[in-house]
Amino acid sequence: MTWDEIRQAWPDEYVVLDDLLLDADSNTVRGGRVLSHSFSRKDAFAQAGVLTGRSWALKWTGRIQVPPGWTGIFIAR
Amino acid sequence: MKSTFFDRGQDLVLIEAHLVGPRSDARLNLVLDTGASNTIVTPDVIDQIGYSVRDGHGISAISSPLGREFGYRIRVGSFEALGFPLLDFSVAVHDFTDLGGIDGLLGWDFLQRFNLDIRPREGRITVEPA
Repeated sequence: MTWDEIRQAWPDEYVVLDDLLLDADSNTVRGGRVLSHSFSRKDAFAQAGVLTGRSWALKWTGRIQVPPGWTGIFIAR
Repeated sequence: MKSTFFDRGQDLVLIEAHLVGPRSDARLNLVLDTGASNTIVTPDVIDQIGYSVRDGHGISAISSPLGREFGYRIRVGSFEALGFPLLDFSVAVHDFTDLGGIDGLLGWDFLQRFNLDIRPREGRITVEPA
């Protein structure tokens, strides 16, 4: 499935993909086979099963939701 | 020089990163964050590509408006973003909220290696090695 088809089928969800379709120029994901989908990242991974030996992608099909209070400033030590 | 396009419809700049671990390789979206000193990845992804806290090389702590939280550091076999791969790149591993599509941050430790031109109105970033 293309990325547009995936977004339409499972809006505002996490999807785990394999058999990735990569853009030749940007080397970024343009589609693939949907292994799982869920509103939760953890559930999406749980449903995807074993990913050993695979090239896979975790994608979010909706708009990014910034948690309240985030400013984007993180200082790591 | 390489160009990367991003979705102008989002409130943040999302960059696709490619991580290669001992068990699998993964692509995920990181928020480009010039205010983050370190690149951060959620432990769900790190676990899936074959690393664990036992492979860590140090403790990581992040201070944010939400408080201070601890995680760990790990060297990823290959980390690629904006068209440039880095070997044995150290990332901080911290849990992010499970909802909302944010799986990590592309921080200053990666970005400072390059010259960047962020063009928000075009949805494009051009990158060249410093």
